[in-house]
Amino acid sequence: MNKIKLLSKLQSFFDADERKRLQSVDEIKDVLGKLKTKLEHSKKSYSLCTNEAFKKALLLEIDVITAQIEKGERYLQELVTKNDT
Amino acid sequence: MIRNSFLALTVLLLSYGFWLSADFKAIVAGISIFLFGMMSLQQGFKSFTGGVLEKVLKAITNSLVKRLCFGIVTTTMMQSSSLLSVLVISFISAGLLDLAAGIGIIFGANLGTTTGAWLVAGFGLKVKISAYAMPILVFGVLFIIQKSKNLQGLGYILTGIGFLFLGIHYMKEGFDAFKATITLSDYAMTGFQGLIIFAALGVAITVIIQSSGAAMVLIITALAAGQISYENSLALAIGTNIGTTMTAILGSLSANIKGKRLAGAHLVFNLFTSIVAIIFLSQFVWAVDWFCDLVNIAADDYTLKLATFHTLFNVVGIVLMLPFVNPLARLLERLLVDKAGAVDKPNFLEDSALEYPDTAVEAVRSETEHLYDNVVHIILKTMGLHRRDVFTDQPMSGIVEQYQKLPDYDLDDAYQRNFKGIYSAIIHFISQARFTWEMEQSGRLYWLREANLKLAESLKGVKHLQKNLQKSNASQNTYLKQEYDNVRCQISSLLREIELFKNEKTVSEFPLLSQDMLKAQLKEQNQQMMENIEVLIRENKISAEMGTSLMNDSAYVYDIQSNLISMAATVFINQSTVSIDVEREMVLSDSELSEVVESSPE
Repeated sequence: MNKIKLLSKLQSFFDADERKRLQSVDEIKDVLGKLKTKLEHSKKSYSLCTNEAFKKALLLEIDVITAQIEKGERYLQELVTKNDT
Repeated sequence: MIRNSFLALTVLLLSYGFWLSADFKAIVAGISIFLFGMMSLQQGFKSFTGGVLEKVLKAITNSLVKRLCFGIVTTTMMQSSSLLSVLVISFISAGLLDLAAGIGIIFGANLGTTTGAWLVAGFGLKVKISAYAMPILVFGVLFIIQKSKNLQGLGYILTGIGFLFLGIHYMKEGFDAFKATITLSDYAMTGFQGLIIFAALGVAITVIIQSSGAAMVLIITALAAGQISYENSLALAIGTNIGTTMTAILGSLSANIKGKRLAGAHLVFNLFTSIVAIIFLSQFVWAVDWFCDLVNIAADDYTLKLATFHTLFNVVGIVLMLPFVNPLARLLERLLVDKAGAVDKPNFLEDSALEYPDTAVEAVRSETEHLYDNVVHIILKTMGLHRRDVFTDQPMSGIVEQYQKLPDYDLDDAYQRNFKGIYSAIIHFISQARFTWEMEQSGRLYWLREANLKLAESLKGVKHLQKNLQKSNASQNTYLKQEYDNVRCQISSLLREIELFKNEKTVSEFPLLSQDMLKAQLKEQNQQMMENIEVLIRENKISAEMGTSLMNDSAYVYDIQSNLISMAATVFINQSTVSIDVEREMVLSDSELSEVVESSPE
């Protein structure tokens, strides 16, 4: 079993496309992590904000980041399933 | 300022004249009606030709004789050279005609204006043309109120002719009646002094009336009434030739450099012709007598002799000047250089850069940045704003409030000067380079070309917007003005955001994703503007027509802004950022953004 895993890792290492895919997976995970932190920060600011105009802008920001995260997660899912197939 | 003072002085002098004499009133009314007739005639030809003039003009660029004939025939038909001058300037500006060819047409037009004198002297004064004027006017107006464009054109031409006849009639009647009170011929002057003084008087009359054709008709009618001597009328005719260049020069003050050069050629030709006429006046008089004798014009028919003289010295002028058309064009191009607004040239595109893919990409990127700066300049100028204010921390609404008056900015000219040349050079450079390299640089160049295209699209939007911005600026409706101020505010705010981005003052961890927020704000602004417009229409604060214009313009505003953002995403974002490829996959599409904005509660 360990040999199979090792062989698979070696194959991945020598396959440029696969290497790129793995790099993208890492990058997207990193971006998603940072976006989620940003989203939390925006949500917190929104709950504390009293100015209506700022609140409106923050709400739009929250919606945009949420949509970006959803799109990013879909893309991540695609990258992961690509490997499975 | 000078024009306003001139107008005020003219109004004062005319009022004084009207108070002094009823006959003077009839003469001036005649001139006014005649001028109105000329305008109507031009209007008629404009709507009637429907591009025929342009087609003919394109076809005759290869021969000097054809150009001369075109100038003569067109001006004879329209009885004014101004419409033709405008057409020639636009053709020269578009590169369809060179200056030398334009000069040829203007020479012909000059000769064409002399046919008016023949018509008046040969026909207008010999028969009672006011009798023809009335039915012509009736038919003219009847045609004008028809729906067909061609009939309307014909109507304007007929009313033009009717008013020309009526104007001549009033001038003639005025001078005849004037004779009973004042005899101007008592002030006739002979010799060289008389020649110079009356030539100067001819200049003054033409400058005031702003038409050499009308001035000539005035002189002929005065001559027919015996109010001026034949000798003085010759000097006056020479004066009209100089005077008409003043109107051309005044008109060219607001024209571009090509218009100025053409006005310069007009000035040189007319001054030269007039000087020749003054120096060889006695020879011309002899030639006129000889010609009139040849074609059986009576020796005492001074009006026809004046018309002959007018045509003759213009023909001589053309014959003498024709060999110098090309040198004159070259001289004017050298003398009248567009210093202040010279055409902007590319700064970074060197052929040597094509050898090195990365250098070439950077050259195109830098050039696009240069082009963007020019676009910003044009947009701000169109909106009556200044870089020095917009790119500060001041609230944008305050800046817009501060600059309420929109300048009459020539966007087409700015496009030619500051955009077209660089844009074309970039596209040419990319086309030379992009297919020869490996994919990465080729792809980058493709996106940079797209960014340039977005800049061109933005300017197109600004061009559409300008018309209504100007209109709203002159409007009394404060609600409409407020909406257009918001438009100015929105566009300039975006330019400020992009400027911060460009100068890396806004540092974003995810530069591409952060653009989504800007785009979402644009969508929201656009949605808000649409709702505002609906409310304003519903509450009758603006008319439905104003509202629909605003709605169209809000679409232009959105296009301008989204094109600028797309351009900025390509040009100002560091494409070597680690996560840029992943970000590209996560950027929201237009429909996804719309969904977000629509689902976002207000």
